[in-house]
Amino acid sequence: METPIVFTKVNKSYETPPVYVVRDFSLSIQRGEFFCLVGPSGCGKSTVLKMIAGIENPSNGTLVRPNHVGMVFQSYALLPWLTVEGNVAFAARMQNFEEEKIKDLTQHYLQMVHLETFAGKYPRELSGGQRQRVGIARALAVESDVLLLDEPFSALDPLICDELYGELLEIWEATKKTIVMVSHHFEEAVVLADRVGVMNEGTLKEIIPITLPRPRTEDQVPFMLEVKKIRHCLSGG
Amino acid sequence: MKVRRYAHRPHLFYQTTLGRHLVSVGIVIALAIVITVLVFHFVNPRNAFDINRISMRDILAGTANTFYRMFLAYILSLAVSIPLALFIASTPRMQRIFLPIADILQSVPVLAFFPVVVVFFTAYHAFELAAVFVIFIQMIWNIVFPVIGGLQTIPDDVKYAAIVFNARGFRKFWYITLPAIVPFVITGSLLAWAQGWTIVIVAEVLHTYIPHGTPSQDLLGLGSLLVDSNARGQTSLFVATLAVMIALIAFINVLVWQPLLHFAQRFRFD
Repeated sequence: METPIVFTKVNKSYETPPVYVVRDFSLSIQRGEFFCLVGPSGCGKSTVLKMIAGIENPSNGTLVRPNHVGMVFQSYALLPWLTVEGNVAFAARMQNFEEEKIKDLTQHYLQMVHLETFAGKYPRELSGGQRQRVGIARALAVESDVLLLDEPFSALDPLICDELYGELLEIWEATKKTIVMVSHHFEEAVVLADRVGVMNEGTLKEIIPITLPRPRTEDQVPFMLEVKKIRHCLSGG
Repeated sequence: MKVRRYAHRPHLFYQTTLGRHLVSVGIVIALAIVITVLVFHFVNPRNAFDINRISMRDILAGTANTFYRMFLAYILSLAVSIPLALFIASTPRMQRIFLPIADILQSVPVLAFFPVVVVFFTAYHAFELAAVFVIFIQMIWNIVFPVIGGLQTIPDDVKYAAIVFNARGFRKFWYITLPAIVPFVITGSLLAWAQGWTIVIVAEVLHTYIPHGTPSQDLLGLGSLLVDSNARGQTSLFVATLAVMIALIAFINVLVWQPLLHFAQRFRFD
């Protein structure tokens, strides 16, 4: 199977003398996979995502990444002067799609995130969960094979998160996209991902495959064991 | 089931339909007319006036003149300050170099070099330009600094979104940067006009800056009428001019700035 994202011994530093935020990072993500990077704040997981998105470049090493991606941000990053519809259409328009296609894509993805009746509203008129749905629809409208999510649920309350996990999995199954998500919630990673990469201090400590059948709930014993495995890995055990 | 419908609210910089194109054409025609009138006025200024024989018509002509000068200086300020602010704020290195320079320049009182400006422009009989230039200098920094501040309020995630979604160059400017600075351009403009009203009173009384100048060299406007009527003890003319000036400022505030400030709210990041 084709691998759209491959890191080979990638390092990323910001200062001189170099302070490495990502060190000796090697990872291969398969097409159609749901991969989640977890780790404490400042461990370099968002930097890895930014490198996949093309926002940052590696200092050295080899990186194979897609030419264009859709990305969902923790702070939503919506444009307040555009309506819900406008925000989604914006991402499609930037890909130079024809107007008819932009219209169709906007309508299609707003339906997918259940926001078609909110098309004319502005972001400030929406709840946090609704804003993040707009963010997801906007990322999908790029029509890329790869969807990146940078801590997309960390600002939302747990009930909304549970709802969005389900919707995200439905979208993933419907679109067959490769999803790379960054999170610092281990439970979230186990609920969603096929594999969880555990990062600490800039290095990838371990990749844990999650083979539990979906839907996964936090009260299952195997679920708790997977979460414990991640914790154990981070505590250096 | 209750179906909620929302009125379609188009984004000024974004939606394009035939109706909006027609509105744009209308705006362009209106602007062309205003510019033509302004150019005609500057080619044929009606500046000769006798302070001892001022009629209501002269006060109204003076009001129009002052407004033209302020408006021209403002357009010039906008045209210069936005690119200048974008240039200064373009990189941290640029900011380190040019922010202190801009800070020093804006601290220099405009009246300090007004005599030089007047002498330069009067050498070419460009009395109007001398006044406009001084108002422009007074206005420009009021827009530059808020816009630089506004550019720094664009959240990092929005800048990243621009990169990820391929909004680069002019498209980034048009879809992200320009709307993001709208509130700061509007608040800066409000301050610029306030400063402009202060300086226009001095800028129209050119004769005090011209060696051996006489009041006949002054530009007809609210500023010169205020200064000259006060100098000659013509209280009623002074009060009438002041009343017109206050009415004009209030009129502009209610009809222009208040709606614009309200409009600017939709461009603010949370």
